[in-house]
Parts: sequence; C-alpha cells; structure tokens
Amino acid sequence: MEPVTDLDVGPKDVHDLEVAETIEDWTGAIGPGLGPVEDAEAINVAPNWKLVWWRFRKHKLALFSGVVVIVIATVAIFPGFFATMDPHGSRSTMSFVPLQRLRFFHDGTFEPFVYGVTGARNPETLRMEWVTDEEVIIPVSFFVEGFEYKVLGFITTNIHLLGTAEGPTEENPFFLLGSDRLGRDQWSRLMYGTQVSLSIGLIAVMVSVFLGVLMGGISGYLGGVADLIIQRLIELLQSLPAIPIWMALTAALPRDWSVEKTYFAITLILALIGWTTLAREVRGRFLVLREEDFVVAAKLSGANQRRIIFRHMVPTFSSHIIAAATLAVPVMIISETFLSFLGLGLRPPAISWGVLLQEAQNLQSIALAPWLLLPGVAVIITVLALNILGDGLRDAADPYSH
Amino acid sequence: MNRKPSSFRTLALVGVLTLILALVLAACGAPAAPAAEEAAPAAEEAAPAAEEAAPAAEEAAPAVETKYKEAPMLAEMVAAGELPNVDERLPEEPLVEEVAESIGQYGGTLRRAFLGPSDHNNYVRVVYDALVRFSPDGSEVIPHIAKGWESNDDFSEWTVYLRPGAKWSDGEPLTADDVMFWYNDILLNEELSPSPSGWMVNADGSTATVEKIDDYTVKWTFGQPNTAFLLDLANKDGADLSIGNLAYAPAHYLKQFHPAYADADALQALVDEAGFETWVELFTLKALPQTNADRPTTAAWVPDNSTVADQVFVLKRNPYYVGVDTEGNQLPYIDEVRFTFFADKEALNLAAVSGELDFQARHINMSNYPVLKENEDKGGYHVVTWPTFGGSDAVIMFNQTYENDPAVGELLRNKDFRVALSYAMDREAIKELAFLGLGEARQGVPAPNHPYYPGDEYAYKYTENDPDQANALLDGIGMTERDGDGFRLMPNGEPLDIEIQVIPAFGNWTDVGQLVVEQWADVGVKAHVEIRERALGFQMRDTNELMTEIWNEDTTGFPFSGQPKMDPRSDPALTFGPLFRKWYQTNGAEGVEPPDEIKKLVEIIDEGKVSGRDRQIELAQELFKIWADNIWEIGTVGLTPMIQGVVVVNNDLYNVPDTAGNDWPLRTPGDTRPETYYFAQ
Repeated sequence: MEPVTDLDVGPKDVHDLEVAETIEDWTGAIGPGLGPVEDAEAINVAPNWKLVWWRFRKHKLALFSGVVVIVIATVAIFPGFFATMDPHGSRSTMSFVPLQRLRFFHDGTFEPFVYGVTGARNPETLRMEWVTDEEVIIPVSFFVEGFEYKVLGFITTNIHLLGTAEGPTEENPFFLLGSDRLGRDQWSRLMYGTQVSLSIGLIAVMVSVFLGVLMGGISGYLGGVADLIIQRLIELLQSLPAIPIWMALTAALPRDWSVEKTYFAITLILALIGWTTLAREVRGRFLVLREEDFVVAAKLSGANQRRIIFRHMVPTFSSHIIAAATLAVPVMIISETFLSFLGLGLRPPAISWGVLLQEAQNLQSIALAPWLLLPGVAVIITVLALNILGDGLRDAADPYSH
Repeated sequence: MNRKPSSFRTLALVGVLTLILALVLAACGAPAAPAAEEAAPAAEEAAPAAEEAAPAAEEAAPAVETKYKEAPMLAEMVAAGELPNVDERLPEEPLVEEVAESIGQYGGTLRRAFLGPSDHNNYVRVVYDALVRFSPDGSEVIPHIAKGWESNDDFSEWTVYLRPGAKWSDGEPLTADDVMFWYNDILLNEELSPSPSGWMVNADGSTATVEKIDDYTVKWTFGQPNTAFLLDLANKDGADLSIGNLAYAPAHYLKQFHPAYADADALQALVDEAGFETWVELFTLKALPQTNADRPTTAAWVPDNSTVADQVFVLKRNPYYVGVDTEGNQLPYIDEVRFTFFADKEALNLAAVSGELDFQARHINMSNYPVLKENEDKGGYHVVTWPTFGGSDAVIMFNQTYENDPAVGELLRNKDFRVALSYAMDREAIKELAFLGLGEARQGVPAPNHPYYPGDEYAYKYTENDPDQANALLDGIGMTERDGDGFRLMPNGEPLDIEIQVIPAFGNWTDVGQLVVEQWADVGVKAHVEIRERALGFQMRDTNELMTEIWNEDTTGFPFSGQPKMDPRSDPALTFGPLFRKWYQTNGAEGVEPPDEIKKLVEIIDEGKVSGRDRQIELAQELFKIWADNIWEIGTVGLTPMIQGVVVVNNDLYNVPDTAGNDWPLRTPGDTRPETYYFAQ
C-alpha cells in the first residue's frame, strides 16, 4: 500500500474535523452571515448538504452561474419550446438575413415586435442585401402555435414560447439571431444545438463518474493487485494525449452510422477517456476514509463491504464528486465542440454548437454574416458558468475547510 | 429582384457557339485540309512579325542582331554565353500566338495557389503542354508544339508535323524520335502500359500504329476512321499524373530510366536509390514534370527544382519555348509562376480576397463571389466569370450496378424511382441557395445552341418541382409503407437510406446535397450526404461501393473523345456503373451485362468516333435524348461559373480574356494561353 501522504486527497481533508475543537471554531470555519436560523445549535445538527448549501450561498458569482446553468439546462430540455422555427427548414429566399432585434414597447405600450426586413440580390456582387423596414411591424406574441415538435421525445405539441402570428413567411420574416446561408433560423438551431451539446457533456460526465467511482472505489478500497492494475491503467490513459486520441477514435467511427449512433459513440469516447482523474480522487478519498474511526466502527459492527462503501463512505465525499463532475462538464462540451468543428464529431444534419461553428467557418460567413459566429458566445457563456459553478461547489464541498 | 443570369448566360452561349464551330473543324471532316493550311499561314505570319520586331527591340541589346526578341533575363544569359541566342533557340517556324488585349512586357511572377500533391492538375491546366491544343474559346483544335497535321480522306491516317528546330527545355532537339520513344517504349511496353490508352486502341482491339516518316513527321494509322484523333491528341499532356496521357516524351532524358536503353545494373542502382521496387515505378515518377523537376518539357514554364510535393512549386520560363507573339517577342512574358501551398481551401479563398493571388479560378468557391466582388478595390483585383457549358454544375449520378444491398440496387435501377426523386427536387431553391441565383434548372445535357443540344423537351425533362407526381410514382413502385418517422420503406419492407457522396472538389456540392436530402425527405425518401476525401471517393467509385454521387457534368461537349461521363467504359471509373465497365473490359467474362439502353449509349459513342460531323451531331443528340430520358443522372442547375469559372485577376495582369471556353478537356485556363499574360510594369 502506498503511503497516505502521497495521495491526492483534494484541497481539503476530513482530518480538519479533529482540529476543530469547539463550536466556535466550526462556526468560524463556516463563516459569518449564516442567517437567522443557522446559529451554533443549527450548525451542530445540520446535515452535510445543508452546510454545503450555506457555504455555497455566499459565493455570489457561483450562485449567479448556477442560475445561468439552470436556464441553459431548461433550454436543453425543451429546445422545441424555445425555438421559433423548424431548425432544419431552409427557405430559399431568406439566406443571410441579419439579426432582427426583438423590441418590447411599441408607442409606449408593451407590445413585442420586430421590424420587417426586405432583401434583394445585389446584381453586381450577387449578395443578398437586407434592409430593416421600420414601416413593417411584425408583432411577436408568447405561447403561439408553430411547427410540431416532441417534448422529451413523446409529447407532441406545437406551442412555442415566442413567435409571430402566422409563423415566419417571406413577407413576415422572424429571425431573432439571423439566418444562415440556407435560410435556416439561427435562433432555433442554437436552441437545438444546446440540447445536443449540453446533453453530450452531461451524459459523458455521468458515465465518467460511474466509471470513476467504480474504478476508484475498487482501487482505493481493495488495494493490492487491483489497485496496482487500475492505477497503471489510469497512468496509461493519462499519458496518452487526449486530443489526438479523441480525434483518432471519432475519425474511426463508421461514416454510415446514423446521427443518434454517432452521438452516443462520441459521448462514450469522451467518457472513456475522461474518467481517470475522478477515479484518482475517489481512490484517494477511500484510502483516507478507510482508516477513519467511523469506518472501523462500522467494520467492527459487522457491516458488510457494500454497506460500508455505499452507506458510510460514499456519502462523505459525494459533494466532492458533484463538484468534480460539474467541472468536467465544460471540458466535455468543449471537446465535443472542437471535434465537431474539425468535422470529426457530429455532422450535419445533427445540430450542435460545434456543428454550427463548423458551418460558419468559411469566408462568406465571416465576411458577410458575422452573426453566424454567435454559437461561439453560447459556448463561452456555458463553459464559464459551469466552471464558476463548479468552483463554487468545490469550495463549498467541504464546509469545514478554511 | 434584379439578377444577372442573363449576362452569364450570354457568355455561356458565346462559349458554346465557338465550341460548336471548333468541333466542326476539329472533330470531323474539315480538319484534314484546312487545319494544315492554317498552320502554314501562321508560320508565314511569323516572318513579317519578326521584321517589325527589329525596330522595337530596345530591351537588353544582344550582342548579335536577332530576328526575335527575348526576355531581359535571357538576354543576360546570352550575353554571358550561357545560352544560345534567341533565333537559335526558336524553331524555324515558331508558333505565333495571338494576344487577347495587347503586346506584353517581360517580367514578373504570377502568384497562384494549390492544394498540395493531389492538386497536380493545377500545373497541367496552367502550362497545357501538348502537341495540339484547344483554342481559347474551346471551339477548335489548333497547332501548338506541333506545326500542323493532315489526314487521309477517310480519317484513318493522321500525319502530324513537328517544328524543325524546336527544342526541349534543356536545349535538346524535339524530333519524331521523341514521339516514337513514347510509342515504342511507353505505349507498347507492357510493363508500363498493361493496357494501352483507349484512344490508341482500334475497333478490333489491336493497337494503332505510329511511324516516323522523317525527323519531323509522324504518322498515326488507325484500323478505322478516327474523327476524334485531334480531340484526343489535344489532351495528351500528362494530365491526371498518368503516363497514359502522353503522346511524346523526351527520349534523350528518359532512356536512362528505361531497361531497353539503360544498363541493367545502373538502372537497378537508380531504382534502389529511389527506394522503389521496380523500374516501372521509377520511370512513372521520372516521366512527368509534375513529379520530377529534371524532366525536360516543352511548356512555356518549367519546374524550377520543385514539384507538386513541395510547399512552394515554382516554374521558371523555358528559354526554348516555341511560341512568339505577333511582334516576334518570345513567350512567355511572365518570368515565373509560383504555386503556394494551402492546406485549406478557405485560406486560399481568403488569400484571393486580400489580393495575394494574381490569377486563380481553381478552388475559388463561387459562394465567395460576393466577398470577392466587395473587396475588388481593396485587393487590387477584378473578378471575371467563365461559365461552364456542360449542362449542369451539380448532378446526382446513380450507380446502375450497386450490389451491396440488392434491394437498394433494384431501386437505383428503377427509372420511376429516379424520375420521382427528380420531381421531388425544388431546383429554384437550390439555385437561390447554392448558386447565388445564377444559371437555370436543367438536366445534364449540353447547353442550348450547342449542336449536340437535344432540345428543350429533354433539357428540362422531369425538372418541374412536382411532389404529388413524385409521391404517386413512389407509391406506384411499392414504397407505400412508412417507418415511425414517416420515411418510406423499400418494397421489401426494409428501411432505405440513400447515401449521396460529395467530394468537396470544386463546387458548393455539400449544400446542394443537403438541400436535396431535405427535399427528398418531403416525399418520404431518406437520404444523407457523405463527404469524402477525393482519393478515397474515387477509389470507392472503382470498387462499386457508391450508391449516388454529386459531380458536375463536364464532358457533354466531348462525348466521342477522352473519358465522357456518358460512357460506362470511361477511365477512371464512374459511379454510373463500375460493373458495366468491368464487363466491357473483360469482354463479358466478369461484371454485369448492361441493359439495352446503356449498350445503345456505347454503340452511339463508338459510331461517333468514326463518323463525319453531320452524323456525329445526330448521334450526340440521340445520345443525350436517351441520357436525359433515362435520367441515370439527375441534373440540378447549370450554365453557371461554379466550376473553376470565378476568376480572380490582378488589375495589373493583362491578356486574360473576359470570356473563355471553360471545361476540363480544354484545360482551362490553359486554352486561354497563359504564356501571353503579362504584368503592366
């Protein structure tokens, strides 16, 4: 067995428990401003998650990021509801329509609308040129009927958050974030792209966490040969440069696979490479915890291994796992985005942020339709929000640390 | 909306008209006498031009008074005794080349871009180094390295006259022996050419004969009349990195790599040194200037210690080039052609927009036309368009011998299925979104006013967007059952998913494919676009793995020569029917026997190769009627400059014509005489 001091046990340590000798110390650790109920008594009896929440709440930026993440997650769950048009539907006369700003007040009353646009092809340059026509007011209403979609894959509906009365037509265009070269609505494509990109990140991390906890748990709890093998495997995987491996694996995916199959394959590829760090952390935790008094006590009381692991040990570091997982999601999202951007990940007709950016990586988009790069902003916002949230969670994960 | 298609179309028509004229002259009866006569006056012309040239000679006064003038850099070399003077370097009767605008000035570097070793035809198109060439408008075959030709009355014997005094780029004389070396030691060498190039094979399967009449005269004798001879000869320029595309070669240089001449041990040493297994590999590499900078050529520019495998592929002027302008100035005007490697096509387009390329049409994406136009002043260039006349700039070809899934193969062979898919397409939408509103919806048949045009009925056959009829046809062939997503199942109840291969080569074909997928989905037919790298895509054509493929219709003007898309025997293999090709190659022993309509195509093509002009026109029209009616290829939009027709030209570069025939057999821009381009100094 390796000496405990060599292990990566994370930023904080349960040994802090023993150092905190008085209630005052504990409150000090959690910090001031706990609110009316959280006095010393409350802290004394509060479960771990409550302590974590009290600590997390103080990290205002993380709190805000949490809200952002929830909004993005809502979009990811109900992209059809937020979309205004069929994301695949091209309109031959409506390519490269610029952003139509949504305005809320018309003549002082709350009456959301967008100005109409009219376009024509420049006979000299052959470019579709669009001008805003302030004479044309296209009213926008909430909860309107539009194209049909399925909520969570089974409830068919046609209600959308936003839309124009009779849907977008040639006389009545409605492109919140402009349209692409095939006249497809970028706003709607972004909504659907959010679902794909975010879910790939989440599913990949879930698989990673499962693998990480399983392998880390076996390694840390059993030790010996199992530990040796798993650790060498982790070292092997970590010594391989991740990006070329991802590229090689995704490039090897059969090209005739359906969009769904490719999607799951890519998720799996990201997860299979991504679990190692988590496994290390979990192993470290196990090594520390299994010497702890409460584990020894459980052992002496005759609890079986499964009970000891899942009942006693895992709950004490589950907050760490959540924090680590949150931090892993943006990495997965970025990975999917750049794989798709390079044309190795998802491919059209699938829509993901990477696919959207890949479709915008050409001269005409950059020169004539810069709004097609907006999915990049969505990636930045999401990744930042998840990182800050993960950071906040990690700090809060051990409420006893200073 | 005010659009521009009409003017594009006019250009296309002009090109087509000239083409017709040319073909009339070149392909059929006419060439024999008139073409040869033509060569003669051209030569006579050279003399007076040279006289005029004398007074104008002011640059780089040579020690000896010469009849012709030359570039200052060559004059210096002559003065230093490194080169013979220009009169000695030129043949007795130089090729006199017309200029598009004005007599040029010497000097400068023509900056171009290429995409690496697989882009070897970029070089071929710039130098267009063949015995005879297509004229700038593509309308006729004109003398080039060869001085002229003659045929007997039934076109079975062709005599080609070389230019006495013409030289290879290393100064060695170019004679009939160089043609005979190609014939005896390349074409007839079974190791180098396991099966001789199709143009040299007689109807009975024997190989045509070539004989030397005198040092500057060579005679081809075919077993039957051959009216496609000149058209074929105009494409024997080493294209496609193939020694099968040669008709003469520098014997004095290549003998060292050929076992018939070289010492066996010395040759083996060379083979070992180069890391090859056999001398064939070594010879093939050494025989083409694209891959071997030491190989002498007869082009206006020769590789300067670099090849297509280099980051920068530089060509320098050939001091022995046979061409002069009408005032007796030896061509080319431009000192150097510099191809810069770009790994990415968008980066190449960006370089064009910022004015870093002097002359480029290849790899310029037509979708970038608006960007290019808007930056003309800033980049110091202007954009010229050379629309194609092939008929359709994105056609979906259906594999008629697909076997990987017999049920799918059955559908691809079903005419009703193809007609339904054609009716399901909204070509106006494709035109707006992928063609900038240019061109017209049509099938892949020649342009109107081309003599081969089969008529409006066929050009526009099945091109209406008629989903109802498409649905009715699909129901009619038993595709009535649908899956959960509303896609039709095949008659055998299995799901269908048609793969459309796109090689992102020259056009905006990926977008065309995506739009087609969407439009087919509206009638319940599932399809997807598969983007493949070029070499892999070509290989999969050959191995019969493709269902359908998008390419352009680039050979409709030349159904009786070269490798037309209408001929299942064409090489390299087409998606059309790789197993038909095998059937023909093996005389029916292997592969799949084609149905009667396709056999008919082959019969028509074979008859056209031996027929006079009037009969050829009749035959071609019949060919394209069958072609459009059977819809083995579904055309989308045609007569646009999508395929290498958006030309970025430096404002200081002159003699680039405003209109030009644009097609692969013409080697555009090679047909526009790049050696006469010049920079205003």
